[in-house]
Amino acid sequence: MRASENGWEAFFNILSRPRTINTLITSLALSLVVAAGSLFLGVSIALILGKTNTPLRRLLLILMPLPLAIPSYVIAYSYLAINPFLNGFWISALILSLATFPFVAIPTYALIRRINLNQEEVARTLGLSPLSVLTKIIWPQVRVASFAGALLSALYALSEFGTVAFMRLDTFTRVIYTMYRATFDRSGAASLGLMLLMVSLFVVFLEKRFRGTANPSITISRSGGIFKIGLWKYLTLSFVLTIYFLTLVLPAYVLITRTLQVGTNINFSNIFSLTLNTALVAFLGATIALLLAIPVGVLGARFNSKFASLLEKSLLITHALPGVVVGLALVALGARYLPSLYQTIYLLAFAYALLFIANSLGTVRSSLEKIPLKLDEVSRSLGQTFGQTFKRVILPIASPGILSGWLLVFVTAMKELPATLMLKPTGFETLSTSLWTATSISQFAEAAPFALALVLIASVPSYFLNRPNLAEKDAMRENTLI
Amino acid sequence: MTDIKIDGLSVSFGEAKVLDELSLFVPSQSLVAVLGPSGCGKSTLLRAIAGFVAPKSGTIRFGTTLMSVSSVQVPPERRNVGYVPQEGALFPHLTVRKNVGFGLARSKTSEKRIDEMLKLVGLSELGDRFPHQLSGGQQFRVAIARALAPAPNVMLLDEPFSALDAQLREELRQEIKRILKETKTTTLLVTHDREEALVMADLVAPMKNGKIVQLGTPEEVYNNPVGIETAVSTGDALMVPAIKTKSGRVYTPLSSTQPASGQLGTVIIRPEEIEITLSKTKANAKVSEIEYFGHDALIHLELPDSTKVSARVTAPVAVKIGDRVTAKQTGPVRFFNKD
Repeated sequence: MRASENGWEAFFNILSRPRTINTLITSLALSLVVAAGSLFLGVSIALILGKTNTPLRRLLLILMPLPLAIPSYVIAYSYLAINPFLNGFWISALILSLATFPFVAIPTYALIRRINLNQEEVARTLGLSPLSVLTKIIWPQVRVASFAGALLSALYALSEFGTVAFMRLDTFTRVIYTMYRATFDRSGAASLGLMLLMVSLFVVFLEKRFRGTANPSITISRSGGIFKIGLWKYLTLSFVLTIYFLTLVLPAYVLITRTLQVGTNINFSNIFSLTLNTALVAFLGATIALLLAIPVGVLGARFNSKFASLLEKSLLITHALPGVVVGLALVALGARYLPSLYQTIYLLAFAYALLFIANSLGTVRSSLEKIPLKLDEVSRSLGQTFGQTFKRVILPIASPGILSGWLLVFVTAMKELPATLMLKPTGFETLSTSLWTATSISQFAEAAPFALALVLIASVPSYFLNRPNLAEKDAMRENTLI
Repeated sequence: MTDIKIDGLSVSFGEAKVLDELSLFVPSQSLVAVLGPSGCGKSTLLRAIAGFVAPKSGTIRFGTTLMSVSSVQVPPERRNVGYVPQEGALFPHLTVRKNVGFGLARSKTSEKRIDEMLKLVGLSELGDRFPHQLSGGQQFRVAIARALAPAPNVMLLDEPFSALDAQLREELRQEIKRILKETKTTTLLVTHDREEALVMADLVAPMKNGKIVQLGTPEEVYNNPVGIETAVSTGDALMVPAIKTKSGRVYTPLSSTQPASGQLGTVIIRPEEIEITLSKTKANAKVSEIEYFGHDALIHLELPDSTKVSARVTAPVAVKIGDRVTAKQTGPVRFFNKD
């Protein structure tokens, strides 16, 4: 890494500067507040939608994962377009909490719906009130998943660049980017990048520890009951609606009205070519990620070796890599060792692959694991070699899952901002970089069409991808508890 | 069709010895059932024969052809075995026809072979369905047809019926037996279900601790088990303390007299081998409990020395709890020394 260039002494020098300490404190405080915020929002929404007779809950449930599909910097942009003077810690924390509450709400809701109704009924016969059922039966069973989700929100806050940059909040990512732009202090940026990476890895480590202790013994038979909460249901409804309004409705309203405001001045051919650029690099990145993920996934799912699991773990850890860190590392690497790739879209595509390969590997692996080994064995006993078995059995069954993994990386890469800013060839622009540039110079109306196009091409499909099986029949077959 | 000869086969997973110098002979065109509790290594045996597990030592032969000898294994795809795992494991992305034809080269004759196989298992109408559109029993038939299509050397069935409900199981047992006999297929079936083994197999091979402990017809292993555990694994068995005198007579608490001395041991009695008659004067047992099954009943008896036995009687039941009865042993005497 670049940090070693000036030796360890310089590294510690930079780390002990007051500005660095401030940055560290700001970043940690932000991720802590975002974790707490998303925990509060996520658990509340999961409980309201999963446990109460709040009106409209099916519709609200279907919309629940949607915030994950919208880049948080688009939300930040839309708030700025309303009030250009917004800035600082609390508005950043609010936006990031709103953008990440589904990390908590989705797993919490899924678990709440899976807790056996019998447990609740037994608890009631033992004299517990509905509220005590909530605190003594339900919360203890879901809290591990909720906390793990909150840690994902914390990780997101640590590595998010666009939102904090728009809100002029000096966290690691913004400071690193600023240092990098001011070319005289690149090793300073690298030192901070290293520090950010260590903090991120620590959060990932915590998250893994949490998941490890999750209680897997919850049985699915009769899913839990719904509490009738009387007139309170209007209060819970307005709570959920307010959150959805701030996260989804308001940004959508701003994007559409500002785009209309630009009106006939929209340069459609420019938007079209930006969209094409965005899709092209994302396409390359997703494909590279997939080509790397398939052999590793097959190795992990079909051959039980230490090497395979080590390789897998090291690739899965990449989801802790913040975009600025990968950008910084590849700039250094590319400029020095790969001059033929530096300043090309291929290096940028490679950065996307590196950033999102964990997603790709995750879906490849899980779609391979769903195929019972017995099928391989039957195929082998019917005279097929492993290669033929892979072609005739494994690949055809796994391909829908593998393709959706590819699509997931594709749409995620289209929304990427910091690595794109750092690695894009000069003169090459994408929708996210154009949005960045226009917003940075307060041309909010001009930025609107870019943001709208980005949300349309990247977020709509990613919503359908991310949508968990929440809307399945399970959610619909609700048992009523009095 | 060929026979299967297994000699001194050992398989270990790490430290654990799963198969321990196991030997077994499956005669050509016969159906042999390996019977044992879960964890005894019977599935590993099947997988070693199919080529999915590499043995540490020993040999596996199909006829005269070596399939596995110490370090050299014929890969599974070159063994020509028909393998039917639990729950069938049909390829979910292929139709019934394509499943059945999976092991065949694509040709006219293959199409004919598929028709033949579908007719054999009675599914000629369902060739274009997908596995998820079939019932459990139909899926199982497809799995059998798929395994039989390439005319395998041997068929290997792993707990074939365990996922099916009781009634379907009985129906399928007879049908699968018929199909395997009709096609003269050498078959090895492993199961923990004693009824399945006894009903289906020509020869039953009880397995214990990684070894085959006996090989005989269902009657032989049921009537003359080589050990107490084998007796228990092949059917209900009462373990009654017994004494064997020098002259070779065996006395149990059911006997009218008791010897002064002799070799201590255990006698295995099947409940249906105890005959009871109501008696006021010569009673040697008291009815302590009755388990009523409908077609028959198990009468629990307490003997004067407080030994507990039970007798299977056909319905209708003529005794009630508290009755005093004469209990008499009728079957063969199976005496096992105390170790």
